[in-house]
Amino acid sequence: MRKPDSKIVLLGDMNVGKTSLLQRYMERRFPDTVSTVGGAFYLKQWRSYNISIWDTAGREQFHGLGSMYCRGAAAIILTYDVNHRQSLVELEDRFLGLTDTASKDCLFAIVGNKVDLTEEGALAGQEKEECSPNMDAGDRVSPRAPKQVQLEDAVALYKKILKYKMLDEQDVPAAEQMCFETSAKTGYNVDLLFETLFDLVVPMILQQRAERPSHTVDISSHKPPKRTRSGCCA
Amino acid sequence: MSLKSERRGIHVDQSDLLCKKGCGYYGNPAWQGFCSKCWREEYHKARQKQIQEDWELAERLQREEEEAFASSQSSQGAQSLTFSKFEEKKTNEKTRKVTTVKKFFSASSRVGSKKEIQEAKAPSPSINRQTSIETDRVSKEFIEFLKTFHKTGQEIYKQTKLFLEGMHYKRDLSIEEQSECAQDFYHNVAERMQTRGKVPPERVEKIMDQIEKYIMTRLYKYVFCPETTDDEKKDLAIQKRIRALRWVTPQMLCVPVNEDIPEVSDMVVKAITDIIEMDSKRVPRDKLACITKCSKHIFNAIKITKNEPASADDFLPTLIYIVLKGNPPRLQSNIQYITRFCNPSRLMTGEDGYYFTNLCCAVAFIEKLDAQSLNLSQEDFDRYMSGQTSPRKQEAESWSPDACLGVKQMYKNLDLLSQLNERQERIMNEAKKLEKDLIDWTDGIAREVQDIVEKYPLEIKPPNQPLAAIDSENVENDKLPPPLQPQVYAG
Repeated sequence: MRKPDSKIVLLGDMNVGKTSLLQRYMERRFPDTVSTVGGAFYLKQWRSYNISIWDTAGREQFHGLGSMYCRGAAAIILTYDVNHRQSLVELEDRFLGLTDTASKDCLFAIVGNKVDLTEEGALAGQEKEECSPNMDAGDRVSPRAPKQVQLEDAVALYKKILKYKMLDEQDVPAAEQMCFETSAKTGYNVDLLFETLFDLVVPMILQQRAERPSHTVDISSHKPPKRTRSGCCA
Repeated sequence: MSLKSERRGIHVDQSDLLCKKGCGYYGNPAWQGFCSKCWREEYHKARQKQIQEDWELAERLQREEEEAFASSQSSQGAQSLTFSKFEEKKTNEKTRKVTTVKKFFSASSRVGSKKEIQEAKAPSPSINRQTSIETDRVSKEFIEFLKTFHKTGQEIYKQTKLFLEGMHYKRDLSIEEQSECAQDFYHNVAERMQTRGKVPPERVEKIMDQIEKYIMTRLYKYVFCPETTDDEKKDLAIQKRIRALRWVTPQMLCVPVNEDIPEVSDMVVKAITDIIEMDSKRVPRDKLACITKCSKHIFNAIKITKNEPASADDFLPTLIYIVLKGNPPRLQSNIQYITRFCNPSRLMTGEDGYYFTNLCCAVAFIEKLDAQSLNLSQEDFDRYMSGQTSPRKQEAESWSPDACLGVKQMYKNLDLLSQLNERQERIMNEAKKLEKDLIDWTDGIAREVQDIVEKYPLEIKPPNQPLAAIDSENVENDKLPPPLQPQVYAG
């Protein structure tokens, strides 16, 4: 298997749909490359680079272990359920502290999943109907409740994260660009989420590679080359 | 002669009566033939001589004592000398050992010289011989692999050889410093290949894997679980911890694996085998491969059980369960070794790194495990930890068919012990009841007797006056008629 150049980590509470989100993207766009074994680790080739995507355990009893996953991450996707406000609160309370081990220039995306269960999501679902002719008719008939978390709440959280990380808004992507509302079930906005992140991560890879030679001191270049012949190389 | 004897028997010469000293006075046998004056003089002289002899004796004893003390000192000196010899012997032994190691290392580095390898093999113990064989094989593989790269291969071999020689002299550094040296080496070699050698990334990866295999096979003996660290202590602590947690059930961890399904049970066994096998590998990449194989078996087990791909929320608790069930040896040492000496790019972003991170999370979870983590009350948790109770007892009927015979036998024994305990308690209760019955019966009998005595009081008359003997003197004279007096008739 190819070695990844960068990694993206999915964080969020249990049952917000992190795994479904990841599987939806991988299966929908690249059905042939989906691993039939695991559903928690994926390797995606984007242009000429390999990006790995890590799913994490969000259950509360595993709280605190997530910092190991975020070590050296280039981007972190913070996921919540638009129908449960508490899952957004958990992102700030439990998961934000875990991201300290990520890269200093790590990107953040705020994703509200399961919009298909809301009134507004129904409209979005209808728009997608042409792309998904196999969608069940029963879903459209069932009543939908108004969603509890608005996009403005996610934008507010994004700005809190910038403040927490002491980042300037000028140096990072705009909040509106990094906050998504998705539905893993209907596929709404899933592709947009991942491909936006991939596009933003690639320049970081290039920058890291460009920076690498200047940080390296070639010690062996100062040593005189040995002229003695080794028997095994004869 | 005969005449002389005859004369003595008959006649005593007068000269014999004189003092022995010849002073002219007569001697006395009490004074041993001396006169009183000469005897006094002689006695004084003898006493003086005696005093002199006593003094000399005391002096001799003193000298002997001093000699004894000196001898004791000399003996201690001998002991000191012996100890010194022992120390010298030990130093010689140590020096010889170091020389042997150096000789072995030096001989081993010259792979082409088979004769010297043979010489090095002969005096070495079997462990060294085995290591030499494996190292020899890895070295040959490495050289064969590098030949395909021609000039770049030669350069790599030279750099690798230099690194190993450098590490030999850095053996006294702390393990963290040695780890940094290894990481720097990986980084520099990869850097040089990409910039100057223009080697494509796929080949760089293969070369790095071979380099890691070669150098870590050579260094394994010195850097795995070194004595300078507390890795061994941590190994024993985590092993003891896992043993204490044998009672944890899949339900407590919310493990979505149904071991009643034969395929799932097979996957679980394979996962446990893989995680235990990690300790038998030497190259960090091989250890990571064991972890990856274990993880893939876990994903397969979850997929078969749930009939859908597994998520991280399913995978991590199952990995924890596998670690608790397998209790792999030297777990912390292996994790530390991989962290210190593995190629970092593999560890940070790759699939192997993902599974390795999950293993680290599982171990951290096991170390911090408490009642709340398992949704138990503190009392239950404490009882399970102390071994007072076993949570599997309630589920004895629902044993998995895959449970090993030992576990089944253990639970059967636990059931037997429980039954024996109950029987013992029953017998004790019966005994106490019997004791109580006996006491009650005794009291009852006593009470009945008391009642009867009270109901029918017995009146005993005082004994009658004994009849007076006829001949005894009669006390009551006043009732009897007066005695008859004889009447004299005149006639």
